[in-house]
Amino acid sequence: MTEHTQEKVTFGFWVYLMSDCVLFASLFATYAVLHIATFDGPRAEDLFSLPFVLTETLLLLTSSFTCGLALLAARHHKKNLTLTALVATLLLGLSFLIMELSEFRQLILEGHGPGGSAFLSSFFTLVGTHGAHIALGALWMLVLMAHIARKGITPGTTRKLMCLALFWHFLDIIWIFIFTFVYLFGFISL
Amino acid sequence: MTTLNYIVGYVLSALLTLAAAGLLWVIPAYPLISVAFVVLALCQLIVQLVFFLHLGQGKSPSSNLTLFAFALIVVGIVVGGTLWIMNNLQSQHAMPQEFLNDVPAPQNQLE
Amino acid sequence: MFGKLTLDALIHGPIETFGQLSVVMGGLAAVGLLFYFKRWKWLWSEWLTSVDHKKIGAMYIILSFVMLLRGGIDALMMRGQQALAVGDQVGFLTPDHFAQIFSAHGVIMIFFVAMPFMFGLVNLVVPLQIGARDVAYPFLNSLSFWLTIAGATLVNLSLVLGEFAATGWLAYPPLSELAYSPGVGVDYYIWALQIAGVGTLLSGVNFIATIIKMRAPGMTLMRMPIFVWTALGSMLLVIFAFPILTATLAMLSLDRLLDMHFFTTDLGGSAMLYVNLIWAWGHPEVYILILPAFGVFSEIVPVFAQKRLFGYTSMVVATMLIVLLSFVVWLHHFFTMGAGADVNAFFGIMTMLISIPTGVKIFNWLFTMFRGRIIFATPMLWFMGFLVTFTIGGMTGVLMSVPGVDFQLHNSLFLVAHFHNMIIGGVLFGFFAGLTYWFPKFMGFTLNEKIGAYAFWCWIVGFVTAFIPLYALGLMGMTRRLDYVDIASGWHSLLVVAAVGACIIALAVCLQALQIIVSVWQRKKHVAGGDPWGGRTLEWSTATPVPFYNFRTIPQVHGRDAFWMQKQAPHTAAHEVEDIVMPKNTAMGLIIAGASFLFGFGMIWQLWWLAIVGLIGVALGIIIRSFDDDIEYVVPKEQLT
Repeated sequence: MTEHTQEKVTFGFWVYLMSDCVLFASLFATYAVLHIATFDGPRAEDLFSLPFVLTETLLLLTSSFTCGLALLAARHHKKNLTLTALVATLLLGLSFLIMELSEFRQLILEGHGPGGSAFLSSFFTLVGTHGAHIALGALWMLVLMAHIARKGITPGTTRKLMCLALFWHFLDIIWIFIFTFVYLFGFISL
Repeated sequence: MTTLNYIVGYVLSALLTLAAAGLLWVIPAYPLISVAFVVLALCQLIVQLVFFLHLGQGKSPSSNLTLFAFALIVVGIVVGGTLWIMNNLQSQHAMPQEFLNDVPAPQNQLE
Repeated sequence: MFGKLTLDALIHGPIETFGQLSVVMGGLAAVGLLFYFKRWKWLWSEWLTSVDHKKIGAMYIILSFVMLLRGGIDALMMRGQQALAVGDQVGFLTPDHFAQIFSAHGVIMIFFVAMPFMFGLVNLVVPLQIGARDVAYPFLNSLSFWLTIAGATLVNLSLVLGEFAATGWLAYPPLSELAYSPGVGVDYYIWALQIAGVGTLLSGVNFIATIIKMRAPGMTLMRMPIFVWTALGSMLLVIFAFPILTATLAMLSLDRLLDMHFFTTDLGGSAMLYVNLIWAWGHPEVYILILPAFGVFSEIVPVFAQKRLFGYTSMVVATMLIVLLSFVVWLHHFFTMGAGADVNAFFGIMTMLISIPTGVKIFNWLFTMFRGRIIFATPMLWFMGFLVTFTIGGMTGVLMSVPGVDFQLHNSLFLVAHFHNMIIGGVLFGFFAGLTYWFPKFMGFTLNEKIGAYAFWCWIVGFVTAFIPLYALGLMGMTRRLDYVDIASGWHSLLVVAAVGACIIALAVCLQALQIIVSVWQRKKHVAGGDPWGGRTLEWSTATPVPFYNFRTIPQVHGRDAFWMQKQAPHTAAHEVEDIVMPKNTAMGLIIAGASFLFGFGMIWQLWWLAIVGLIGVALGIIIRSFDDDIEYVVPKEQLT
């Protein structure tokens, strides 16, 4: 019964993730169309810093790794190890988020906020939507840690952790494409 | 699903990321570098799908795989179709250069 | 503190005030009746907090009928205006009011009549047809329903407070941008659809998981009823198309709220990008509606022709082809936007291709009827009405798929006639057929056949009278959405005919309401057993009305038309009866949707504190629910009759 429930729940979450792919696809398509409309304002290569975005990318990638470790620990019923790995994941994820927010803040303070041009609108929205997903994932992580602290590793908490891990890995995959098509392509003025 | 599995996935992804970033110093030539970026991104996608998301493994992978394939198709159609259509519209209704980027308007031919 | 909300929001013209009062009176009447009959507790514990797919399905259908009244009144007003506003008469509606009416009409009919009706039938029938006790995620099911209610409430609230969008049902920019629609109308539109859209997406996830993971043992995919296949196809379209709508409306709201420039006329925005994206959602949307209607007919025709469905495999293939192809035709909604001939030709050809699998379905139904022994009960009448009207409408669609022809007919009344032909003749007739077919299973008595037949014929006559003239008017050059017509155009007489047709349709709806009332009155005389029609699928194997746990024991399936097989060979030993685990009722779906409503209202009127409260409410609701360990209960086997 519980194994069927786990399969049923993780499958449903996978279905939701597939729909999220299309959400991001719409935002990517919009960015692809509008990123040239800089309207006399700054273009991608004027705004992005490679060391900065590389650090962000590696932070998020590492958090995806620690999230996998958390799931492994849960599979072996190691409650404290699971919680430790989740804390690491959360801290790395929050570091990513803080970096991203500081990038946004810097741009806005320089007068290149999302209202500056269609390029800026589509950039802030694509990257910002990913960031919003990360923020929600971080909140979810906090709640899940409360669940695990309270009840330990049970079929129920393992199931929740599996869904969170799917979500977190998925977000890192989306980031690969943001890194490539927004930042890398931006650096070569595409 | 072992620790080694995740370590391999992590290291491969990091290498692919650094390789892509490294290209910016090594190959400045335009068409090749963008293809390389895309290839590296797709490689990392597969690495993360296999090593982190365990796609294709587990008890009944066929439903997950089929849905994923369908999602890829829809993503391709939405992004590709939008680009094709908007590009086509753009060339049909070409906007004056000065509204698109900071390239100055073409000079008068007589000059 | 009050954002954009002022007392002015309550002040409207005379006709709008009438609508405003109707909503308020209607709401007060419903509340009053509940107090008078002392049914609050019953309503709360039996319906509002229910997670039972049958109850949720019934509530969806009730919502759709209530909204059909409002959408229908909008239609009558539009037809009335076009019949009266000719020459030196200006009719009774101001241009802005007329624009709000045609926008509301479209939004209501698609999102709050057709979609809920579809989800209602899918909710009622799919779990039973696959031999399951409920859907995969019963709580999510309840949440989806209440989110739809929250969206519908926002749309109805726009009649009372403020205004609705005057942009058409798809709210194209630049008209829908802040510069040209500074009021709250477009914001009502955006947030009603965003909130209801989340509900729809969650239902899509729910039913895919249900169909893929919860079928009874022995029911392989190729043994599922076709209605389940079409539901699956429709749900796949939901999860892959609705995110496009969510993203696009979000970008429009960012333009309006945060001065961004996705679709504005300045600073690099592209209104054409909006049209492209919204139709990339919009085309799959209409297939989301029609596929389950096709599925209904695949259930009805074999039963009332008393013959097995012809071409099961080709039906499945056709369904999946339609799902795939519906993603590559969307540009046919904007052939005239100015893409080149190559792009237009590609989408034109794809559009023609998608008519082929539909044609396969039609021929399969015809071959099912061939050499059958037809019973002309009301469900079958609806099928035959569909057959003629939908085929005509489909052919006009193929006509317009030729870009050159579409350049003449785009946004004319020919187009309007075409899509009403598809939605009324296809979707609505299909859902009416399904309602009359499955009504006895859930209510325990059949609907009055005589009044049903009268309602059907009234609908056919009304539909033809209201919409065939529109085909002619479109060919004569009349554009859609006109609130005034010149005498010199020569269009007026046909507009009067169309107005008469709308009144006949109104009469038909009244007859349907009468049918239900009379049937309830006569329910003791028309008691239906478990299997009143000679059904072939598993829902007919349960007792009537269906017990809350659906099946005493989960059936073992040995082939297609599982119940038919059971009836032919009843020797299979009964499975041992066991205790069942069922989900508990919960108010959390209602609460989270209520918080979403507050969020939406706050965003519309720029009451930021309220929006934050709503958002926190949603988050808290989800978190609290996640800590609830007491969400199931055991039904001991002795209780299973």
